[in-house]
Amino acid sequence: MTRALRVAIAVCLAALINAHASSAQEPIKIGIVAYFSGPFAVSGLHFRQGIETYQSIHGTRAGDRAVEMIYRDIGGTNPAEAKRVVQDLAVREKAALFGGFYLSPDAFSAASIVSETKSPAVVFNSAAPPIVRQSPFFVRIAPNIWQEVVPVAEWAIKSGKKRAYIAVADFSAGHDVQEAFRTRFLALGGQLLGEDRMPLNTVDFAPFVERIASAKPDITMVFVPSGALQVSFLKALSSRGILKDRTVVGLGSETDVPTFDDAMINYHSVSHYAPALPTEENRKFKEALKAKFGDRAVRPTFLSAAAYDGMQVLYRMIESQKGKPAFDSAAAVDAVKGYSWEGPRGTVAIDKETREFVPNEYIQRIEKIDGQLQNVIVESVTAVENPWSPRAR
Amino acid sequence: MQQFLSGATFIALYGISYGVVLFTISIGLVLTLGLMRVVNLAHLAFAAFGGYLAVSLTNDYGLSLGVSVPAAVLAVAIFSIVVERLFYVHLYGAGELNQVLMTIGLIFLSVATINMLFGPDVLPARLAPALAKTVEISGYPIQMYRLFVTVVGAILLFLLWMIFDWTSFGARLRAAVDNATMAQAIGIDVKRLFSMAFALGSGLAALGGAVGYAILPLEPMYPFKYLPLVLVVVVLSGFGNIKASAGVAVFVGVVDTACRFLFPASAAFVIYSLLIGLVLWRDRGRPASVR
Repeated sequence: MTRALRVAIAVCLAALINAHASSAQEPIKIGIVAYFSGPFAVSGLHFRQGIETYQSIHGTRAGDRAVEMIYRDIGGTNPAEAKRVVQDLAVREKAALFGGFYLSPDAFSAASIVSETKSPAVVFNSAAPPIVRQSPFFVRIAPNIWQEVVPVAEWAIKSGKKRAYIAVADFSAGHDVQEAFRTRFLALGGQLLGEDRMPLNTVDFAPFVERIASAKPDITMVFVPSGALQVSFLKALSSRGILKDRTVVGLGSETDVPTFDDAMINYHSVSHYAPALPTEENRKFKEALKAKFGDRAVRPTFLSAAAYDGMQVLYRMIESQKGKPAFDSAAAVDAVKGYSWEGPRGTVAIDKETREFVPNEYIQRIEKIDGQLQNVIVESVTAVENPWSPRAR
Repeated sequence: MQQFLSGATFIALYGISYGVVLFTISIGLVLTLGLMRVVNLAHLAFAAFGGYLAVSLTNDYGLSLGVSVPAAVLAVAIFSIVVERLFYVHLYGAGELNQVLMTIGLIFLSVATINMLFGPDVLPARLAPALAKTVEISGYPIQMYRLFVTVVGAILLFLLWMIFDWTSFGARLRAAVDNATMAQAIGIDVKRLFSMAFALGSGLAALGGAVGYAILPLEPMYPFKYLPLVLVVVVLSGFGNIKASAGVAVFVGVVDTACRFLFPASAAFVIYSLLIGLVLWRDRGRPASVR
């Protein structure tokens, strides 16, 4: 019995040593936490196609290491599940890095785990302002909401639109939009005609649209989460004919553009990605996306573009591990602090101190070109500072 | 006064048309629940199938709505007979809990199926140019589509009323509902009758989904998303009462529209408070003679 035990221990030890020795050749695993089912499943699809598009151009090796992606579905905003999945990936699957995170509550709850396991995590989309401060291992490659909305307020005042209306969905991101716009717009001398928080259970948005129409504002800042809700809201706006002679600005609507009809012409939106951006990198991204997925390709959106840039950052983190015996998380995060690169969204950067994204913001308008509805850039604001960073304050 | 009047016009126009959309997607469930006593929570799955089918036929094969909607309604009605024979027959006479459990399971199944077949996006659906036009009614711009839906709802109500009160099918159905054993004894094929009633309910749902898509966008979560609204209408109209359900749906539409227009901050729950209030009142406040 004791002899059998000793043999067993020896075998185990040998296996362990063997495993350790071979770890240098093992692929580095990146865990992607996203929604592939449920009400926001479209975000997961865009993330995944962005990631795979990046890999179709840059390969599945970063530096001298093979990269293995592990996709995990948490089926919709689910902080408890996000935490469990990150923990599971870090401990059992030995994922060294993380990416994904669509809605903010999931990133918030994952913060404590990535801090504990020292796993650098690249936040692809979650836009709540305080997220990056939750863990020293968080890096964000999407703007926070203030970075998107403040340029709209400034553009409005600059172009003489001094009377505004705010209509946002009644949830935390909507409140952030409302506060950011109101703060900047009033500071610049604008006048607010009204502010509405629209319940998330709204089916028919006509009443809210009617309130906007009767206030007759020069500019209306709106925000409703993308998907069915946004489609309903925008349909209500367009069928009331409000878009024809008034400026309505929303946040990134590209995912829903195919569902629009001509009544959506002249709808404005602000986003950190503009499909129409005439740069070589953007062209490469759009072509690779189409080449990789053919008919199944999603439209190039801020989600797929962010995932694409996210892979650029993750690959750089892995490249920083060259010559290191074990994964060095601090070195990985340091390697991308202050990193600036050209991606589909133009020349973007990660702030040296705050690890926040430094995006370009594009205010776009829907126009009909060659019989197709497209977003056309009307205003570009480069290198938008994070209003929360010490320098911007 | 001027402002009050124009507000009232808006609420009436938009509230009624919204209510009619609710009526078209609820009426099928009012029927099946009332006649067959099956709490079919998966009712909206049939609406979603109908909507998806009709819009896909229009988008992919260029059929006009006049062709694709009836085709979708017919297809869903036939499909529902299969589903009824396979699954729902086991629920007749089963406890409510079993019914709820199974039909909720069916919703999950249908959500996953739609996601798999059509993808997670909202289904791109454009209105025909004639419906997208805007007309003015007493100074208010309103889309033709909303008027069209209202007319469809009115025709539907009239047809159903005719079927139930004037045809032999309606008479047999009412007999079977009141006393199935007796109806069978006098030679009515109750099993077949229920299949037909179920197909009618599902077909009506499909019609609602296909006609209402511009107000209720088609997406995989459709069968869950609008369920609370449909249940409000069903609960308030009582068992199988078609005329009451039309009234209730329009009432819900108008109240909801008015609240969101006048008190947007509290709009999210007013309709549910109303529901609770009405259910309590109806239960206790019935005249003694009825009790």
